[in-house]
Amino acid sequence: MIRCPHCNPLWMGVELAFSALVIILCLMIFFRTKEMYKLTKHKGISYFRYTFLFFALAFLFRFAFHLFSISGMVFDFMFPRPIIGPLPLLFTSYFSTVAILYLLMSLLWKSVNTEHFLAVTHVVALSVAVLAFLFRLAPVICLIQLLIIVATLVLAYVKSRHSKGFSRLFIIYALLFVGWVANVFVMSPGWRIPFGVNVVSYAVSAAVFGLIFYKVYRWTK
Amino acid sequence: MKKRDRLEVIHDILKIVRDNHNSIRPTPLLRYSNLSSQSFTDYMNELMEKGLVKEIKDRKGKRFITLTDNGFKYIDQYRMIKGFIHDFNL
Repeated sequence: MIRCPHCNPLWMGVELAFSALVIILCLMIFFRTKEMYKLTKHKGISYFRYTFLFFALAFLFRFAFHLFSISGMVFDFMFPRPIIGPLPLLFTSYFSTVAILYLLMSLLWKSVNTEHFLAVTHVVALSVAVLAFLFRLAPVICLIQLLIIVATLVLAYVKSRHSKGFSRLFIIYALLFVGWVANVFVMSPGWRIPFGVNVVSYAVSAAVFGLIFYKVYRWTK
Repeated sequence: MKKRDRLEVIHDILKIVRDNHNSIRPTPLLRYSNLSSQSFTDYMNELMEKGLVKEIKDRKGKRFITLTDNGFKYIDQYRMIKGFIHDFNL
């Protein structure tokens, strides 16, 4: 039998540790590329950096969600479910959609009107977030994000074919998004995913963020 | 001949300035950089805006282009930046 995850201290501990780790990795990617951006003002670098800032914010709200959830266990005080349920989902959905669209933008910026695209990015992300907030529709969020992911992956694949040799980046992005979609399901209210599956999904996501950080670190050390 | 990309042109301009004892008049810089005068003006405006070069005047009021600290950093980190952009397909 699968217990309610918010009543299981081990489950919540793993959640908090995982979110904290990803927040740290994303922020380190953001700050380590600051100097490079300052020197070049390269748009691709800018979109790449902001992708990870928005991922960090998405995971920060996820972290807050779980922190509020365990408040009852630690402080004998429980935040009302209507607040801790949909609110973090609103922000997590918004920032994660923006992050994914910024990653798409980091590949597309040379061939599209960036101002229009950015406006569309925020409108799409806001719509997804409001849908998530009003109806708690995690599968809809997943579906929309999946469409953006597929577009990004196709583009990454086409770009990597044009560059010398096959880019391993394509595989990394593919894993990142698979991990992210699994994470959105975990965030949805009423989820019943076995603990083992969850841990594997966390491990894959953390490993992918770690791998991207390692690649950034190698270039910026 | 392969067309230089934007980062490469900037790198080339900065290297010309550095290799001329970090002080060069705009006209020889234009000549050595292999750019049209319109492109050269655009690049110079961009470099000044980004704080990579600055303009100084000597006692006679002649204008010279010189690198800032960020200009030197750009040259040092150019390979790394190019590698990063290529590696992440940016």
